[in-house]
Amino acid sequence: MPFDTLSEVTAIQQIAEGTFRMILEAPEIAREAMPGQFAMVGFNSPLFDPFLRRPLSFSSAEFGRVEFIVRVVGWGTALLSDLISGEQIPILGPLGTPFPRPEGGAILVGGGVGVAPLLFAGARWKNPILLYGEANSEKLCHMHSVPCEIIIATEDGSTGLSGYVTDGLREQIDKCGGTVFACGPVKMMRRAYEIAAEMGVECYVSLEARMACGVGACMGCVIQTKDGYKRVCKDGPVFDAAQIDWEALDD
Amino acid sequence: MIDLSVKIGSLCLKNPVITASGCYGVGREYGELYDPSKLGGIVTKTITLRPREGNSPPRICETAAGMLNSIGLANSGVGAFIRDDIPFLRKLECARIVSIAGEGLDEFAELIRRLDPLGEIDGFEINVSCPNVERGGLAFGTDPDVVGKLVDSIRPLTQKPLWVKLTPNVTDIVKIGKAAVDSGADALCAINTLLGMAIDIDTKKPMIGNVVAGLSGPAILPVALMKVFQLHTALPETPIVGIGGIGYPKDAITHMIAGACAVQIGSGQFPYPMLPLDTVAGIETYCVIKGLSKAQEITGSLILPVK
Repeated sequence: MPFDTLSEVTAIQQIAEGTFRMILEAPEIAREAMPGQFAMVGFNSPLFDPFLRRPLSFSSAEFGRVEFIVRVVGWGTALLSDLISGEQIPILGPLGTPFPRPEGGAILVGGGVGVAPLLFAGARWKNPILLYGEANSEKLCHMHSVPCEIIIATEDGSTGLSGYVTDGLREQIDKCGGTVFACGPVKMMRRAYEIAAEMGVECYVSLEARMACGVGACMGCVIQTKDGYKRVCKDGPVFDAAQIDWEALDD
Repeated sequence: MIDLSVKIGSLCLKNPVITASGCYGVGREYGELYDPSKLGGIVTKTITLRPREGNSPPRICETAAGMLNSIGLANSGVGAFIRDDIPFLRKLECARIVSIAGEGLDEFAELIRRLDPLGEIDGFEINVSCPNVERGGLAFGTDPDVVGKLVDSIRPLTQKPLWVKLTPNVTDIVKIGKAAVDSGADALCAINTLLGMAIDIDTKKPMIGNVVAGLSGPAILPVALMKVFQLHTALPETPIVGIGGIGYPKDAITHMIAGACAVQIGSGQFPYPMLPLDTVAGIETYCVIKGLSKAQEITGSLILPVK
């Protein structure tokens, strides 16, 4: 069940270039949130600029607090990054369908701030491995604590392995098998799915879309699947990657 | 004790706040946040005879103090509505208005025939902003003769209240409203969304898959208020349901002052999900402050400058 609350910002800190970790006091939401779920995070904008709330996946939920990773991409995320401790903002959550809990091993593949829900999964699940990729070391999120085993890749090779985060996926599946969980740019998720499919393992992805209601009422955030349009907010954001019409998905 | 009830023709609502079509499903999702029975009523998403997939994404886009949407009346059709949603509506203790749209007069008639016998439905809202296939895709609601004929053709099929939801994308909304009322509409709902578009300067592509879309949100409140005022002035005996731009409870009160006997809240719920419920409380508080014993005293209480 979702809760609509006015939540106090308890901390906000820069963790990479243009990227912030935001922690909010939200006991009811923190109690129920599961990895893969999200919240509609609103603004103190009396003249409705911005108008819509922003869907953000939980990167953590514990001790009555929820945590998000915000990368500044526009006006809304810039306002969120400018918040200071003690300010209050409206948040509605938890929303959406969480990741299915893996029965065997889990390989988490995160690109950019798409790593957020995977950090949450990494903390809650048993011995997963996280492949985390960024363009370069400036954008790489500084982790205050790493929830599980992690392998970093940067496209320019400035930190960790050089290349795409999905480059190391085949080897990991070979080594420990398990289910793949991916979140990040569409191209990255598609690649992760193709590798998983080739190797015969399941793959779940967490998608992003512009949203209005966030609860499943307005039909605004649909994506094309093999079973017709599905709502990212309610039927997702987590989907079985095999169900998605990847050709129809824009990055 | 303030009497919040309002009458819209023969239909009595326990308060003047209704959720608008397309923003609320049938109430199932927002029903997890609060009990929809606390509202005056709900208008369902628009139901069509056959299932509709809806338009290609992206379907929504944020704009200044509002948003564009082009959902394309996505719904699973009247059969699935009766099977899946009517049992949910049965449990609601508020006015349950079903929004309907057809591609021609016969489809509207067929929808009424299928839905009229159901006791879970307290009235119909006719969505005339959809394209009329018989007339080359032009919206029904832009021609007074077409609106008159449509209401004429379905009026004999039901005793239940018939509301007509008007589009603002016309030269003279009063003409259209009058045609609907002359043919037997019980109330007019104004306004639907304003047509608009948005463009990404980087890709030079429209922000909406369908290119053009409907503008809603607080940005359109002044337009909506004027349309409600014009309709109420021209048709003082006709109940007007004010829709458009309600972002705060006070905005609903301005709709009522302009002449609306009830209001519908649509996209204002997106930044503010509890807005419908807070609006019920806001109207009550307003009555207390203004010394009114009934909410319906607000309707049409506009004080115009003396000429």
